[in-house]
Amino acid sequence: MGNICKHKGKKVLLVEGKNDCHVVLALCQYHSLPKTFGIYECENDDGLLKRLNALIIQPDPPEAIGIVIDADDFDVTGRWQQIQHKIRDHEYTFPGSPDIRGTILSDNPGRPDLGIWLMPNNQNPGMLEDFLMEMADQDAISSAFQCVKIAKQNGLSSFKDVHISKAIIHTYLAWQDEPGKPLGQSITAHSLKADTEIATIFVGWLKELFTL
Amino acid sequence: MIKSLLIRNFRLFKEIEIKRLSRINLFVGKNNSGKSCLIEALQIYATKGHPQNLYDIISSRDEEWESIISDENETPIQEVAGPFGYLFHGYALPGVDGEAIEIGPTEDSSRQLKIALRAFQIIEDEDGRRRRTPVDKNSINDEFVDIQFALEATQNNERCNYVNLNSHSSIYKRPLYTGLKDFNINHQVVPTRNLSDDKLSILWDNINLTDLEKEVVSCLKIIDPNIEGVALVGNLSERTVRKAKRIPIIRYKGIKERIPLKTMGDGLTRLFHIILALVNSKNGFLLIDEFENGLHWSTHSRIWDIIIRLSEELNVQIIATTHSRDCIKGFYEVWSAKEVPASFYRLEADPFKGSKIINYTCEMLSDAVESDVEVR
Repeated sequence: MGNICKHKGKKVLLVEGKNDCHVVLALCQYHSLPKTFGIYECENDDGLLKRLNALIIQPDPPEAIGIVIDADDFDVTGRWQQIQHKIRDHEYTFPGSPDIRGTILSDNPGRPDLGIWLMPNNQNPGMLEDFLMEMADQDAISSAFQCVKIAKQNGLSSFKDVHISKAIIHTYLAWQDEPGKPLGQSITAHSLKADTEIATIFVGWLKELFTL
Repeated sequence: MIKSLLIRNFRLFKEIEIKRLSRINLFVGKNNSGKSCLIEALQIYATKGHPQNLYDIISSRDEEWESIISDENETPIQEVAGPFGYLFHGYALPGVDGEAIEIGPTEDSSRQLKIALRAFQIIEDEDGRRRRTPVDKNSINDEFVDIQFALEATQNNERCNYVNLNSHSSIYKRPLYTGLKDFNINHQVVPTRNLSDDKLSILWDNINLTDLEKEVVSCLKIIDPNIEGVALVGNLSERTVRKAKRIPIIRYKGIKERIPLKTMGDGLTRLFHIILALVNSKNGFLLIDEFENGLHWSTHSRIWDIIIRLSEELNVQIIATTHSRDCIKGFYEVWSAKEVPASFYRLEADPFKGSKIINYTCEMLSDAVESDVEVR
């Protein structure tokens, strides 16, 4: 049995890390997606873009490649252009900005179909945890946010500012049933709701990309 | 130096175009994707279709077998496909004046070599000299008694070489007409199974006592720093002088007796052949089929380093093939570290054109090596 987050096949979703992998797996399980594609975690964004560039022209390339990458503190255009630049020699035609329902580039003959999802929502800066915050109970997440803010104000915290959404989501998960569950399992346990709008749009993008 | 390459109607290639060739070029591809065909095509281009070279290429693949058993065959040449038919796409001779093999730079049609089947009639002129006069394919009929079929190699509409086809096999080897021989491009080929002993002797003698000899020795030191010198000597165990071949021997630090190079293993032998061929390819081509044979993975980048330096100094264009990930990795390390004029390609079978080419940029190759994605 191989590593479930190191899939190599004809339909593959590249993600940055293990957390992303388990979140996607949990979403697919909740929405009962058939297992026709696999996930490969690339350790970080740099590794993800390199793997993408290499997979597109490998012998017997995949039919479809999806990437799920954090927009981070780039504004979305910066990340969008970075992806475009990385694979510039493969002749994909990029629209000026990402589709907010997830981008799919499928008109490049002889090349894999390419899906791009910028976490959290193809419009805002952010990361996986910002996406997950949208799946949490909104009253509870506000309290978690207040909690993190107070800790920071009182000099009790040490996290970097860019990681505030990580701090909030883990604070939130700390007071759910079985406190401190990992992100993927929290979806399975319904602490994070897999049928919120953002999750549904994401799953719709996966279905279309991998023609499920 | 050839900056692009178009090959038509040759062996696997119905048509293939390499838009940009660099000074250093490495090709990968699965079996039967056309790597060796590419090397052969460049040899033919360099010799302008010289009959000896065509015959060597054919016999290196055992493709002359049929002609040896059918010496007395009197059937028309188009019906006896082999052995030169093997050179054409589809493994059969085209008709007279039919589709030619074409090899040469894409952008300069005057340098493209064309090899086509022609019909000639031998006619005596007023001075009693026997001359070949071309016969148009439409006027060939039973009344022509002494019609001769030949492969004619031309460049810019001028004949360079000519291979008579309706003769016994031994005649194939004899150049009946050698045209502008002095325009042949200097080149060396290192086949999968290394150079022949005779060839090795010639190449060694050619650089013996020159500075290039020092380069060869210093390159061998990459694999074993204790090697102090190389020479080629007659093998005294052979019974007759005529049969005696010469073998490379080395002087090894701390050992009084000289020892044969082959004692030191396949890697050193391979490297010796490659470097010796390289220093003999000045201002021309070096063609290496399966670069990696016998070489240890840890030596590749150092070998590429020296090959690239020498190719620059001697103005040699290198076209090499490999199956080895280590060879690719060594090549990429040198390519990405220095601004070397290099290219990397994969040949792939293609249902329509026989073969197609995929060109990697340095960044693509680097990304593939670093993320452990297959390129071969």
